Amino acid sequence: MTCFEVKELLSEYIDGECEKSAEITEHLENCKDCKKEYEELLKLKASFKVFVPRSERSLADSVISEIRRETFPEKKIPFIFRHIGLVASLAIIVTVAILALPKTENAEKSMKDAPAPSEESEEVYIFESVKKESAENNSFATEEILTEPEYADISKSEEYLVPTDDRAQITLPEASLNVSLVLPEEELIRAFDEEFEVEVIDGGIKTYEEHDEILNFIYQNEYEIDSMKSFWEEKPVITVISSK
Amino acid sequence: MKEDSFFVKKAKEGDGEAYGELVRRYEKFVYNTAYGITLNSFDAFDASQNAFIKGWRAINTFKEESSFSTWLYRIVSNCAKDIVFERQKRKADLPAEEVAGLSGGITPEDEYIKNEEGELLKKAILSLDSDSREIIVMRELSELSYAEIAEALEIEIGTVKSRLNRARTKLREKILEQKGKTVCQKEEKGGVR
Repeated sequence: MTCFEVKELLSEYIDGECEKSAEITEHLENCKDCKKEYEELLKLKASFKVFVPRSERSLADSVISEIRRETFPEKKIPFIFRHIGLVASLAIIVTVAILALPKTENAEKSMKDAPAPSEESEEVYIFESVKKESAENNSFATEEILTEPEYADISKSEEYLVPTDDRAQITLPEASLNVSLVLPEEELIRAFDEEFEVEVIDGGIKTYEEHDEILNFIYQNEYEIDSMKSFWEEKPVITVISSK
Repeated sequence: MKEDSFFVKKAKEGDGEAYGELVRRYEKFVYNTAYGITLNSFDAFDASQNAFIKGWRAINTFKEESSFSTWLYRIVSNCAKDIVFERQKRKADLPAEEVAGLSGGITPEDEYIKNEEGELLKKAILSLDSDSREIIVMRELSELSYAEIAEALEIEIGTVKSRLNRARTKLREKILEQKGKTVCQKEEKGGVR
């Protein structure tokens, strides 16, 4: 290849989009002139890496807040705290509890025997699916337990699930229950919205340590698990009610 | 890691959090693209926000035949260009003295950036024609592949190659020109050699 030909192809070569790259590499090893040209182009390309200054504000956070505001205009966005692992862990507890029951009418019956919903009509997320794929450090089996999510009036609902693990008892609150929000794993905000008495925990449980940490937190603060919902398998949500 | 299409599908069903995942994935892509067009961080931020919100509202118009990045690129590009246009309009309404103090796309804050190379690059980009500028931004800042660029601009890959090649050549010429000027200025002022 002539130097002229090589120089014409250097632009696509540095982008890794050149079909004749082997020939060019060879040429560059032997031609100082072309090599210099190549290095200048690389330098130009590199200068773009530091060209864009870092934004002081978080663009993603700002956009996501705006979208949430549009999606939940009337609800105050509750503060949340993040304990990765809670949901999956509790989901696992429930999974285990449910798996222990025979998958017959009896299973459904025992669900229906759960405490009656409060008279107040509120939105509640009914525990639905605990589909969890086996992760690397996860030895739990994959099992799809329940089916479609339902947003139901508590007063009308007779079929919401109560985990039977005695450490994670669900008690229906008399206070109002508000919309729980799913938040991305990266967010870590810790506070409680006392007016709504709802706390949202987001994340996926990965270890038993995280599981214990979450449960400890809940019991220390005298919270009770209200419901759990999986938006999608990687981002489950659990809603906890303050009993204070 | 899940494919974009998984979150796109959920976003189309109204799942804001799924769209939020896409926002995080494409945050840098959108911001860098917007910056490449507006050349200042404030406008870049605003344009990026607008683009993401527009994308959310129009998510159902995304036909999943093209890639999400090229669809999003078009939205950002338009938002950024709108902001640049508005800024130019504002400049047109300003009295002459104030305009003289404004250099295209460079805010007072940016002037404090003591990055000579960055400044040179910025000026060089500004001097390019719009096609060249656009393709440089798409390749170097948005980091789109040749195929994605071809798709977004609806041109052949061969055209992408030649345009990019030309744009880079022009950029280098401009930068050298600027460097030459800077040296001369310094010498005139009896300053640093």
